[in-house]
Amino acid sequence: MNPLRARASLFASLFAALALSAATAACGPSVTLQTPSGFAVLEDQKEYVYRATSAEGVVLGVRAERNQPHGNLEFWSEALDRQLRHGGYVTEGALKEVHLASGLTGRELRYTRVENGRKQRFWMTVFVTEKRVWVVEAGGDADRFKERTQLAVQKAIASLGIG
Amino acid sequence: MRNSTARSWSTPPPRVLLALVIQAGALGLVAGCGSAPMPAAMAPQASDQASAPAAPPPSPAAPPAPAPADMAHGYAPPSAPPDPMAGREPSAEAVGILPSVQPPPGAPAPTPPAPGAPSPPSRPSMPSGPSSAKTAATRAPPPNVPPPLRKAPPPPQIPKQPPPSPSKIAERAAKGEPSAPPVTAAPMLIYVGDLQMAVDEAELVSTLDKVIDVAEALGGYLAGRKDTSVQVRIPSYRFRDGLTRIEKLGEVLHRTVTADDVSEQYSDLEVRMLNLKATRQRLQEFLARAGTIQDMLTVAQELERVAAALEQIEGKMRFLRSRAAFSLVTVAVQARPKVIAKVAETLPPPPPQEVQLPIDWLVRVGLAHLLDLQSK
Repeated sequence: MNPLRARASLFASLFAALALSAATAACGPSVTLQTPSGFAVLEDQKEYVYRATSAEGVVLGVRAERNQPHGNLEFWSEALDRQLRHGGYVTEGALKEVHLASGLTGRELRYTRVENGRKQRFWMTVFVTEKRVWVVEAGGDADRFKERTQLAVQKAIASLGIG
Repeated sequence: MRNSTARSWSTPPPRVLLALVIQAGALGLVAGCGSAPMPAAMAPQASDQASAPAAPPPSPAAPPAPAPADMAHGYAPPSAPPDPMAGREPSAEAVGILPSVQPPPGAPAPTPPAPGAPSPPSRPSMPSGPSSAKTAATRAPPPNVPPPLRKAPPPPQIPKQPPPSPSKIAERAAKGEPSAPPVTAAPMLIYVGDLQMAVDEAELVSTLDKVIDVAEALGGYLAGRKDTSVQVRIPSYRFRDGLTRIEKLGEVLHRTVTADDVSEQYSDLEVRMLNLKATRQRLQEFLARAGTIQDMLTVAQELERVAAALEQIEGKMRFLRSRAAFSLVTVAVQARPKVIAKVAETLPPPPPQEVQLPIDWLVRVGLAHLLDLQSK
């Protein structure tokens, strides 16, 4: 084989591999969310696939983790609930089911916690698909995470689209 | 040759007799108290003791004359204080005679010496043995007098009566004879018992009361009581019976029984008492015959010392007798520990052990990470 042709073939193979990996990266977890009014989206997030914050410090974030070990909604909501209660979170209100427009059902749990003498509020909504566990977190100081902000966050969670 | 001089006297002069009696009294006090000073001029000389003829062997039926305690224990007299009798040369007869014990009534008297034989000392000296030889060695012999080479005669053989067997004593005790005859040949034992018992908490006081009841039922009495312990004295011949009854009142945790044999101590006291009584008798006889006031005063002083020592010894003997007659039993009670199983039933079970799931991101869910806007 002509050496020049062989070298050209090698470069072509490398280019194809890079293009494939780039395409794979582009196919990672992605969400669509209606950002609440008064919130700004934070870019270049690694731990969260989406994170937005209000000027007062109420933050809304979405995690997309691998469903590994493979579990259903009951398993993951129970595991997360235990972990939070073990960390000092107190359940506020009963567990509530949330239905997305896509038909996916999730569970919402609300907690409070006292940090440095200040009461904080934390909401967690869990969705489980075959490959992913989606966790929507929203929280902040209880004096700032009030009705208006709560309504805005509830709307944002309801608009969640999982890709 | 002081001995020959002494033998030439038909009757001892009053001064010599006074010295003799006072010396005897001083020895009796030494035997009794162990601290009475002895005049230096009256201290017996080793050579004189050794040269004195031995006492005639006692009759087999007669009890042996007990040795004075100072001789038996090798007592060395302390240095003598100044004494009005010091400086007088005691006769060999006076020096050689030690206080002897009056034979008990009924015992045959020693055989008198045959007529024509060299007259022995007017009184027999005490039987000498190894202990007396040891004592003689501790006393400093006078200068220019060779130490005695004469071998001391062996102690007289004592016909021993067979002591009552322990089984017989136990039988008497088991029968509960309140006035069991004292057995002189038996050892004098002081029993002391200690019991630690566990009873129900509600029965602490009543158990102590029951211990006292047991002691009184056996002829004993209460010796002391505290919050959780009681001391009772029980007649010694019912000691075992009492201990067995008390042990049934609760759960015995610890038991200690000791028996202290004070036979030798009591026997020593008895010998000292007999010696002192004999000395007192001689002093009283001499007091009746004392010629001068000085003699009377000296003898009276000695009598007083002898009487005090006698009282002290008799007190000790009474104490030992009472201790041996009644055994001391100390009972300490404590509440039984409550049953642990009941406590375990009332306590809630511990929470289940937390399981750490092998999911590392779980710990990052929460406000700490969510609100940390600097991290990405």
